Amino acid sequence: MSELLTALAMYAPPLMIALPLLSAFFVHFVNMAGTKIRNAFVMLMLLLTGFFAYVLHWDVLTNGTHRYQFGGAGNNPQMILPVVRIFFEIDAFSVFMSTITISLVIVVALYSWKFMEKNTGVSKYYTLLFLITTGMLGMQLTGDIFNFFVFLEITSIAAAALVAFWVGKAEAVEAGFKYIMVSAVGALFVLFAIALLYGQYNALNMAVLAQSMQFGFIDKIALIILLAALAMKAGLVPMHMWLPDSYGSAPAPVSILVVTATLASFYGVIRVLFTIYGDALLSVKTTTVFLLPLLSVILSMVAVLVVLYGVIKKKQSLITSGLIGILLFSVLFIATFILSDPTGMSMIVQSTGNALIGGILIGLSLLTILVGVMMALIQTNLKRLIAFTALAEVGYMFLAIGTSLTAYGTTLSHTALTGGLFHIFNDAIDVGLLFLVTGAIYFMTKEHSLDKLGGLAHHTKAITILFFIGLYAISGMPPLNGFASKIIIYESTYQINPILSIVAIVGSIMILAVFVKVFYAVFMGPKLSSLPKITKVPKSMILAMGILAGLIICFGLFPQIVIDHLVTPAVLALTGGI
Amino acid sequence: MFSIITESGFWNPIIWVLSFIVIFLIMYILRSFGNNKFKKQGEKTKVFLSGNPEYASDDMHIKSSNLYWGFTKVLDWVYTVLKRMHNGDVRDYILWFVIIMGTLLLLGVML
Repeated sequence: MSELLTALAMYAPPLMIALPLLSAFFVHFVNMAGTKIRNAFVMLMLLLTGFFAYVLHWDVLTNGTHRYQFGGAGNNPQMILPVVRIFFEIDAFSVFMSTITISLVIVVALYSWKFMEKNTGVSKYYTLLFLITTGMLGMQLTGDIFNFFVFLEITSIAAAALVAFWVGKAEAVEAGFKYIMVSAVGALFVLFAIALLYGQYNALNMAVLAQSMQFGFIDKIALIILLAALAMKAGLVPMHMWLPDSYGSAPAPVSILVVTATLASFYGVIRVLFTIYGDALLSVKTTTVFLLPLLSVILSMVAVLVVLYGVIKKKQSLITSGLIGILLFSVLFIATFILSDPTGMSMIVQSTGNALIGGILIGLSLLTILVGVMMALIQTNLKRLIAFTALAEVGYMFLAIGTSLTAYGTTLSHTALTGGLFHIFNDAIDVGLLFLVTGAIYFMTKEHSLDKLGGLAHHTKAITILFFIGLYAISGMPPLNGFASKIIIYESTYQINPILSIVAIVGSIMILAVFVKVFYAVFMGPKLSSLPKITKVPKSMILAMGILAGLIICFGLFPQIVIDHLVTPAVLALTGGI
Repeated sequence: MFSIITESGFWNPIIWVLSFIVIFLIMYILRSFGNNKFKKQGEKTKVFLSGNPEYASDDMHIKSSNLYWGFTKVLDWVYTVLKRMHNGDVRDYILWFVIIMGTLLLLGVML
């Protein structure tokens, strides 16, 4: 049996790309045979892709990193053109992410059967679904950085088209335009960074880049550009504003696909930091400019003066600019303060490169958490509210990664990274369930506005319970899966600085407050006569939501299964067993 | 399989669930000492609004935009800034990206 699985695993990487890619083309023709045959074809192809993903996952956990070569061997003397090869280097972290991706896509497809049924152009929807799946899986399996960019573009273009799927709605088309604008700018900067690295090392393979990395001036520039561009795609504040616009205007299953695409970009951040640059960051020792904290204090004071001047002259723009300046420079100060001498007397900061980048990521992640929950609190559109909550959850992931990077080379780094990767897994399921429930509410009532909804618990107990499970999990409440990953993050960030842990916990409490408001507004209270006829939610949609709710409960009660078999191998793949 | 061992201790959801069940049972037993002869009837359990008539259900439901009003009012100065950031203009979104990348590049030069 294991020999059969190993043989299947040998061809799993190309099949995981080829199957959805070819299905994207053929689904349009299969659609002519009828809706049921098309749905069966979609599910069959995704389940087949999922089967190969799970087989590959088993193979990597059993036999180690899997390499697949596309292209020539290079030892044929009759070849005239240079050898062009692309390697897929699949380690435990790649299969961890690809398993999450394909599992979510299967649930989305099941949900979409009935949710998208009454729309026109549904075959195009499934084409785009297969394309985005191809892109995401390609990003997670490839070992070539330029190939990563290609799959990033495929994902972005398919996602933009999906966001704008409801072309009759102006907000959807606008959201799709914003998505493609932001994605295009980010992807171009990624390409520029790749060009810098290629110019330095004449290589595009990530493993070769990691071995050759000298962390010179050009390499630092490339790192910053890659980090900023991929962090924008992942939704780090203050480059996140496109995220609620896109999530809020897309159909519910598309919102989950875009969340998964965001996680694929987050995968890119981790790959760049831990695999390509990894140990090179440790080797850099620098008497980082003692001017940095002083500079941030001076700039903050300038910003305060700008605000005061704006108040005197009654100019709103000056006040706003000044406040933004204070916010930015405070973050800068906090980031450098974390690295400062423990006695607090010296302004000289000494750190390695990983600590500086880790500090910046920690500062921005705290901002992400706070902005996400504060904006979620004032939303009246249910989808935008969940989008902002998803943004806050991205903040937790970056907080864990920043902590891991700051403490790189220690067991604390390992613990923080475990919490971060476990949180990726849990967040995908929790946010996925919430978006699906939102879609179900829209399906029932044709409403997204919290002010117009109410008393839905009288109409549907199943959706009420499913939403309660989702809100409980995303708020990080025991005994569900959200708590399990958040407790690891709280404990690891506490070791760096207790304030980080406090902010993270306050963020979770505020998420709970946000969802208590939503639960009350949507489900509690008397039946509203103002709501139009309540449509019954189909069984396939309830099944899709039920699968995610079941996973939330299961992994909440048995978190160590996920940690031992999925997360720890991924962490070891990234940190090299440190 | 059941416990996450952390540096500060451990988290075991099964123990949590069992504790919750035990506490629930204790609460239920305490509740059972109450008056079991009470029946909901007459005016006792109806809503009392100082003698005023009960509103229609649509008018009684508190809308979500009214919740947490105090919190959002006190932090109005923060929300003014945040709302201006989320103005929907994609040019401003790209501008933020450029600002952050510029700031990070300046910091990166110091690495």
